[in-house]
Amino acid sequence: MKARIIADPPELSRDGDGQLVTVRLWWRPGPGPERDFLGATTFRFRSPVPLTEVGAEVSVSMALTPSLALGVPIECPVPVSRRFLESWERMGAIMSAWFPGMRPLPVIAKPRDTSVDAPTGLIQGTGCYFSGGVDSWHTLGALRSRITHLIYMDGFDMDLEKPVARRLSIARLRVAAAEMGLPLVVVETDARCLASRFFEPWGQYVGAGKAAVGQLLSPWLPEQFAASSYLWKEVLLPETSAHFLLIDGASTETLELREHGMGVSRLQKVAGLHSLPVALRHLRVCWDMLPDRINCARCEKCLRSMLELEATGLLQRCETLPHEVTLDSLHQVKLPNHPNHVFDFWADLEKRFRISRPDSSLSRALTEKLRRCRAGFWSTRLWQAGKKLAGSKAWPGLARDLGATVIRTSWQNEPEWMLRKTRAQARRLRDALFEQLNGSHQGRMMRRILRRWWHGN
Amino acid sequence: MSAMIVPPPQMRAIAGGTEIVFEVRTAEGISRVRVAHSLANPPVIPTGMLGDSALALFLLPAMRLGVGLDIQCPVSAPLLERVGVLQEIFGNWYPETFPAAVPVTAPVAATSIPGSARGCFFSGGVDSFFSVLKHRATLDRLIFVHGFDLPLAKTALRQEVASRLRSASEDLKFPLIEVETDVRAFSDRHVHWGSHYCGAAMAAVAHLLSPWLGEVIIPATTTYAHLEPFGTHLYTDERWAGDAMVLLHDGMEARRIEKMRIVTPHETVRRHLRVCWENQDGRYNCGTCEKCLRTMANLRALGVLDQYAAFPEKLDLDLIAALDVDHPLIVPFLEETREAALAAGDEALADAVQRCQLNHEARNLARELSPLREDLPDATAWTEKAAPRFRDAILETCWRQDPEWTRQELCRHFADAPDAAFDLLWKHDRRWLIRRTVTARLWRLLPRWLRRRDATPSPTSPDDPA
Repeated sequence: MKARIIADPPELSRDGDGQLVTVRLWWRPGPGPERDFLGATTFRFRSPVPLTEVGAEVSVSMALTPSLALGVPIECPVPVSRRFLESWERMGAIMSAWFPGMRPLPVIAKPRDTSVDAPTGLIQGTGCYFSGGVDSWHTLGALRSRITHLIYMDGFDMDLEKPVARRLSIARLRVAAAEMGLPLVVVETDARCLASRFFEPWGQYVGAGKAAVGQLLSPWLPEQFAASSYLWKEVLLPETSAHFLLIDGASTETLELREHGMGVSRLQKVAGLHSLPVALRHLRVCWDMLPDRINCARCEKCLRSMLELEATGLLQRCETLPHEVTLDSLHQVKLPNHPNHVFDFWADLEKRFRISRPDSSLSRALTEKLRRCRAGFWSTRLWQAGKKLAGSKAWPGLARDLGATVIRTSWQNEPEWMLRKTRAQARRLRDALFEQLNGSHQGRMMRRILRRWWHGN
Repeated sequence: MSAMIVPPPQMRAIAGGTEIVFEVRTAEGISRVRVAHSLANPPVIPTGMLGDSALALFLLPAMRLGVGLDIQCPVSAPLLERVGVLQEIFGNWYPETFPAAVPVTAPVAATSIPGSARGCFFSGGVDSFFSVLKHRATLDRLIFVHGFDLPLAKTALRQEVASRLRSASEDLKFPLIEVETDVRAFSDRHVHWGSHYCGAAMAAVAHLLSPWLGEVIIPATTTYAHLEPFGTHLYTDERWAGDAMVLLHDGMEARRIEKMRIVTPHETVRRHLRVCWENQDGRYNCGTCEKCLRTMANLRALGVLDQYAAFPEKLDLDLIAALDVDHPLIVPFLEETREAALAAGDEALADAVQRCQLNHEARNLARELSPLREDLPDATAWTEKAAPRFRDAILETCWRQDPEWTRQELCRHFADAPDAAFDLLWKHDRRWLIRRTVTARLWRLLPRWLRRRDATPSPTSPDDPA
């Protein structure tokens, strides 16, 4: 028998007035009972009625990425949902197509057709994953009549080792949820530790983590919605395992987990906050985790959100962000260094400003910022293509040609610019510069130095 | 009229099968779409069968025209629920063709339960053979549609293709359902067959077969790593399903070359593989179109081209190198072929494919840069004018990518401006300059001193001429 990852059924215990679920993964190198501890993940939460059982799908979800990364199948000693097992094949194939080095592997478990029973007295409802950001508020606003609970995953985007910032965020989310008249279910998890244990990026785990939380809460919340940050056309180039294909694929006979909001652009979502005053009171977009406020107002995401709110006329009403975007902060913000969906957000924003207020200084600064950014993409693209096309007859050495052209024409037409550029790089250039000078003016260098020295400048 | 109205379609038995005629009324007038298939005497007709099929047929044309869709026969509830998502996806992918969602109205059909029989669309191509062989144990029927990629007007070719596919399905021991439709006469007026419509059309045909089949497999063209928009797509195909018909977009786990590696050893595939849709000179596989050439390159890389009688025996590598491959879904196939050729030690093929890839890259680059080129006819002139506009970015990229070259290139020009160069060094790194100059000077003088010392006669030497 070959090596296996053993996903033990989750252990359920009391934790004060809440519940603690522990998922343990084991490594079995071959036949026989010997096995080594591979890693554990805990989930802490409170439910109105104590859960009596948690499905093994929670453990299997957490084992997904280690299994694909280590190239070892998962074995689960207890039955697993048939629908989950059927979609497993597709999920494995998707992950292995996206993340190099992974390959699809089976789950060795008996299929189960019956569901995990909901505890007596538990009223089932519909959950919505909620972080307080634009996407979450949009989904909550759009599905308000269906949603009965908000779910916050503590430990996903926020570091568990910053308790003050976490407490601040959770307190704010609780107030927001209370104002919406909905209970907030906080699931505290150390799932990120498992990712760091395998040296894999969190992006490859986050989808599986979300699926595990979904399974965990399924007896109570059999229908759950997760707000998507992407549009349909953007989910074509996956960058994360929190992709809707993987999230939707985690559904079972008793859980419908769905991504929502892929047809609505971010600017449209922001504009939609107009009818959600509570969202403008508690909007949380920042990942910087400051101990005294929920948005830092300096990072790319905060600044972009401020501009989006400004473009839709809502910035003055937003209570968690400054009411003015300064040109200085715009100049300082760092945009992506390659075209991605975040850059598309900026491009949408720039277009909106250019059309709605073409003469404003903010609009002009934004246009200039994006022009520079695009020029950077363009020249990188050119360089990469030029290198790739080095053997092609069509475009020999195009990128270097361009670089050489820049240098040559700048020397001819704008030597000041050229000098300024080289001055900034003087230390890096000194060897080459010296060779150039010394090669063409042998013996005269010393005289030059002495002359300068003599004249004292 | 601001709506596309679809009255209940007419369904009747014809010799050896069933015919369904959809009538659609728009502001342009009345159009008809006919679908006929080779199955007769339906056991039980699901209530949503005709409505589901009509929805798949007419939703995208209605979106293109920007008019509401009014289907006057029942549509199954799950499909009606998904209409919003389908419109969202196509609208997001092709905002110029489908700028806005349109209202769709239809009575809701009573719930039906899908049957247990499984079918698979089968055109005789690589993807079809792969899915059929993969699901061989659970499949019941294969489906071939006349009028999709094969125009109805090409009667002789259709007969040959149908006869070959009948033979292939007999070999594989599956009955073949033959469907004939003139849908493209309608759809081509509004939407693009490949980019927008082929998946919806397949779903419409599948719904009409729901009395006999509960699940239909749609063989996929691409892998999970390439999810660019296309008419048949993982995101959309399965969403066209109704409650009596499950649709499965299948085979995305394998790359085309892997599919070929799996299917090519089969005798049936060897005899009947059909990849061509251009069919130049009315041939089964013309052997000259882009798709035929790509397939032949794969067959050669797998070392089986000579076993395939349906293709020319020899592959002209210059034709491969000159292939005009620009569709984003086709480009990844080239890399697969090159890898397979290299693995097989066929360097000539790998080289030809690489030339094709480079040409594609060059064209792609030219297209990306064309907005910058504007009206400049000459590439040199363009470079001279365009480059300074982005000189900061270009120079920074040069530094990042190849600092040594950039250093040399920048300093080369100081040969004509020694004062400026000296000023730079004097102002920024005076100590280093002096140390370096003195050292260089010493190194230069040292050999001279040594020579002079060696040349100086020793006072003790009796042979000293001095």
